Amino acid sequence: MSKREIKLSVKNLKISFRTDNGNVQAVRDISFDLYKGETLAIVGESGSGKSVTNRAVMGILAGNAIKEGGEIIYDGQDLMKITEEEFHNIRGDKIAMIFQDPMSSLNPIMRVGKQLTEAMIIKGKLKRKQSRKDFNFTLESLRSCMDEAYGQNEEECRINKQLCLDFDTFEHKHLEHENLYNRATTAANYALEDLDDVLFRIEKKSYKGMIANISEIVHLSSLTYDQYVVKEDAERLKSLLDGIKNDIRLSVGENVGNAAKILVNREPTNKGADFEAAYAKLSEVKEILTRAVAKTKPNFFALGYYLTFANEPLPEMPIEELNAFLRKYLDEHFMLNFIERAKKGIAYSREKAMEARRQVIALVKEHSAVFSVDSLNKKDVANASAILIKAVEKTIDPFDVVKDNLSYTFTSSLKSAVDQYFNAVVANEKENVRYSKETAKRDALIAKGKEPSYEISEKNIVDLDLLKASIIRIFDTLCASYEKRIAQTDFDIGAATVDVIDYLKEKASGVAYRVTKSMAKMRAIKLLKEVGIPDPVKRFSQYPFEFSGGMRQRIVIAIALSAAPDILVCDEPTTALDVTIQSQILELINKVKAERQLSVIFITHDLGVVANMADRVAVMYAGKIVEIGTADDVFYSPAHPYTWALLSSMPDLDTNEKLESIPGTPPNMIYPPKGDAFAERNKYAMEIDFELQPPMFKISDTHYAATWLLHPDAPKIDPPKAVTDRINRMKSARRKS
Amino acid sequence: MENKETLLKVENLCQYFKIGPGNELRAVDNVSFDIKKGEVFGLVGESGCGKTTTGRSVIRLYDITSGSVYFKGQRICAGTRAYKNAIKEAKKEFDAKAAELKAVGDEKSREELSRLEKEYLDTVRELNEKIKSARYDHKNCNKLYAEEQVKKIEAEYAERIAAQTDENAIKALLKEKKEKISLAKKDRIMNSMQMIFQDPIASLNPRMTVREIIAEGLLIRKIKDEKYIDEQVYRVLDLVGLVKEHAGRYPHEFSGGQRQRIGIARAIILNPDLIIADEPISALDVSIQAQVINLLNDLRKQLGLTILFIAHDLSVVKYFSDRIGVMYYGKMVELATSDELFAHPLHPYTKSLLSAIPLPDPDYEKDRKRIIYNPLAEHDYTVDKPTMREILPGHFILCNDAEFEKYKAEIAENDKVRE
Repeated sequence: MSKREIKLSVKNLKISFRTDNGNVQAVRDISFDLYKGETLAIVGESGSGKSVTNRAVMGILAGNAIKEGGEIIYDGQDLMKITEEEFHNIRGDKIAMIFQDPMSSLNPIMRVGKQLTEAMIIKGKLKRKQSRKDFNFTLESLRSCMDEAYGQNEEECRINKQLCLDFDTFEHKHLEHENLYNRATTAANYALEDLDDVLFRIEKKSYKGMIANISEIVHLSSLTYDQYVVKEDAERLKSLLDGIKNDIRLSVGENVGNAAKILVNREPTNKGADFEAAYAKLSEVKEILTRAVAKTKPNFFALGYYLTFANEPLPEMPIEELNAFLRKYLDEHFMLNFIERAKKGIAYSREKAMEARRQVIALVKEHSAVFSVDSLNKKDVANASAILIKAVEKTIDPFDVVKDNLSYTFTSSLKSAVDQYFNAVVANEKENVRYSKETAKRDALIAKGKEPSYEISEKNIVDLDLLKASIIRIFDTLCASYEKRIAQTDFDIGAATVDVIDYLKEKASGVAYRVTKSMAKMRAIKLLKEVGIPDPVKRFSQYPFEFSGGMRQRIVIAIALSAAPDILVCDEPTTALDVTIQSQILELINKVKAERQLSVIFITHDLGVVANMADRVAVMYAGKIVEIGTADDVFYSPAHPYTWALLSSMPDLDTNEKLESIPGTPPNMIYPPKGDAFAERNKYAMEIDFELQPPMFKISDTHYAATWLLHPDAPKIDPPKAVTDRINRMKSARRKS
Repeated sequence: MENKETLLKVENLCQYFKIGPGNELRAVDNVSFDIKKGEVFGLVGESGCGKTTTGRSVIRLYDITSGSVYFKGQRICAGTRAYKNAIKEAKKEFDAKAAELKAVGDEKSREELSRLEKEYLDTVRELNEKIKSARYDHKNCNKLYAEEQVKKIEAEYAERIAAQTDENAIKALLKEKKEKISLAKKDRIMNSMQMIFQDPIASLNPRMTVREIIAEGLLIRKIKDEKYIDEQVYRVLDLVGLVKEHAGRYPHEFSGGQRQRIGIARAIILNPDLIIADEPISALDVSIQAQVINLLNDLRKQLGLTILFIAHDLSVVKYFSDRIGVMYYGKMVELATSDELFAHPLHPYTKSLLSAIPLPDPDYEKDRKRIIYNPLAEHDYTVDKPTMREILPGHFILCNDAEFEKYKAEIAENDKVRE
């Protein structure tokens, strides 16, 4: 569990909303981690703060929200503190969201197709720029590290520079070819899927809307002319496609997409004889494409090097042999040498970062006196933090694939903690003055013999010691993590080098990957089909109002997926949909998650949906997480009374007895209850539940719950019968199967 | 169950909507079912399959295209499309035959022609009669019902008055009778059919207090006695688990579950026999859903309600309904008691629907295999059109001859496995 990479980490988040009646405490101190490639489901009633948490993650809290504290750390940044400008790069692109109400996230006066492709094209441009920048930066820093590792020897530096330049050049050649190849094979794959459908429908004599489908196939198949894909069969394929065009009388030239749009509503004139004629040709096209797809992929990385530097024509041989040959050529001429040098560079940079870390630890020790005196001196603190911030910046290693969050967030967290302290000093002074003034006034009144009709409100003094402790805690955690890193010895330079080269490849592919309009359209139509919208070619050019609720939601999901985000936040995406479509959409999200190693936060109140989706489940009530654990933990051995109540209040297919409903309503969060918020609706509530908030009790490594029932002194209470019955039933069903 | 009287009977209900010139959307197509007194009939299907339209057609929010709906034995709505089509068919047939006979032109064929013409005219007349009566029933169902009620009361009081001898008592009875008749004249058959809507926020007028909302039905019935109205409002508030004090408040002061309770209170104040519940719990939280289902269940037992329950949450439908109808694209594909349907689904669409139900069981969910329903691949209806057939007692399925045999074989196999 600890091995896995943490994508998003929420710590002690507190959010409230300013309203006319007072501050509503929507989220009260919640913490969770989201690992890479997992689904975390957040379950709770409306008003439990689950949506607010995720809106904070997306940075779209309402205007009257007060961020009272806490951190949301993603990719080395604290999302609670970064500016709106910086958030633009993250929102939608890295963290995407699917909302509950699809109509609110669609533009009613824009065609659906435009809404899908617009972002793709704009983001495509931006991504290329960004990738270019990242690629150049990493390669440049690699070169400089390599230079330093070789002691700035002039001859060595020249070789390093040449190597990096070569890498840059052939990398782009490689990607050009690979992109062409990928485009052709994807088109072939798409065409094959369509072909199956069309052939099936010709057999079944159902011709409605077929012309559009066939013209789509012709269009896609014509995209597969590539020397590595349909080299042998290109001529035959071309003549076949022309034949099909004649049979169906598709008056389509180059611009198939537009023609298809016009032809969509046209029905076949002579009841399908055209299609019968095209059947044999379509089957042959299918054969050719199947063969093409089954081919082995050439090693384009090596091919790129060969084409750029070999000055010889490519030898004619089968792809498998060619791959081996190219691989050998690349290794001999370039790769081994480059890796050797890169290794040294990376090791050097790591050593440098480690040294910087040691220095930071020393510096912290040196300056700790400044922060531990009774009342901090503003000037000293400013000086000391400037020095420390500079030192910490040096510890950032550009080749760390997993970024060191603490170093990145050090500046912002230190600054905000220090600011908080000095603001509090001023505020406390003012408060003291006010209090003494008012007391004096009241005393004067009493001295005059009058009975004052008011009470003086209590002093609102911020505890400076606590704030100071929080500053010191920042240093402590930093040093602890650094010491741990320094002590770590099992560092694999080889693997790190491969990682860095992969990173460079990825960035280079970002540079070469150009999103054109027709490509965006192809992808959009594919996405529409993927989310289960029938007749996507026609739907592509319709307006949102022409779709039903379920269809709209699918489009919103398609838009969210089109950005290929890192984290997907789903806020009750299937609540408005019916079961069949719901399960389709859930399968879709699961599929995409598995393909792209996506991390998903899934908000819902339907436990059935959660069981399907979640790796881990967090149950929220009144702004707090009351139980968190893996799906198996929460469903097979629930511990919190609220989870019991949720489980027993929903019927399943075998329920016959009366449902156990939860009495009452959730508490008013303007005046949150003193003890456990669920106590009032809880059958098993004890006296302490009304007095003290329960802490998180650990049940197992993955399973935690906040209820006093888990305290060693508490009476042993079994879950209600409805829950245990169901669990037993599920277990016996499992044994049977 | 068999002995109970039929409360609602829907026969060949069709509801088409015009969507552009010459284009029709067949929202509900030839749906028939009946609901016995005191039972809960569930209607399931995916969104857009016509289950809500069916409910709304039954309660006369739409004018139906064809078919008839009988409620308490009286036809309350009727469409004429089917009869009109039958006239057209008959004319076409007659014209074709006439042309044929005219071409022959001898004595015998002329006789034949005149016979056919007479036959044809009879059919048309008959059908026209049917159209007329359908239109009359559709328009006047409330009037007819009121007349019947008045007659009933008169008959009842005639007996009682005849039995009485005391003059004062007769006077009192006459007065009572007069009052009852004046009420009965305003009585409508549609009063005993009420609806609960999906969205408890949108279906309550934000500018009316709870008392006004609940009492609106009584006001429309021209009941002006404030005391009586208060009594009734408090009675139903109590029934749905709210208190008297809530009557003066406005809807926005309530939580979602309470608002749905108000919606239910409004539906039951006129003592309806049938309630059409159109996804009453879809918009509620899980913890509140259970409260509302329990409430509906209690009311059903207390008041002897019959409920047409429209929902897409199959677990809830299974829990709540006695019989279930599955709809797919305007057609009823399978109808059976809920246990039977879930234990032995036969129609491929029902199977696909059941395979999509999410359950709170991670292990089950991991290996759940969703069955995909593709009507093109499943059925071959080019020659033999499907009809609704009873395959087991009480278990109906939409199929043609070949499929009927196939399903029968499947049942036999199921039986074998069970043994």
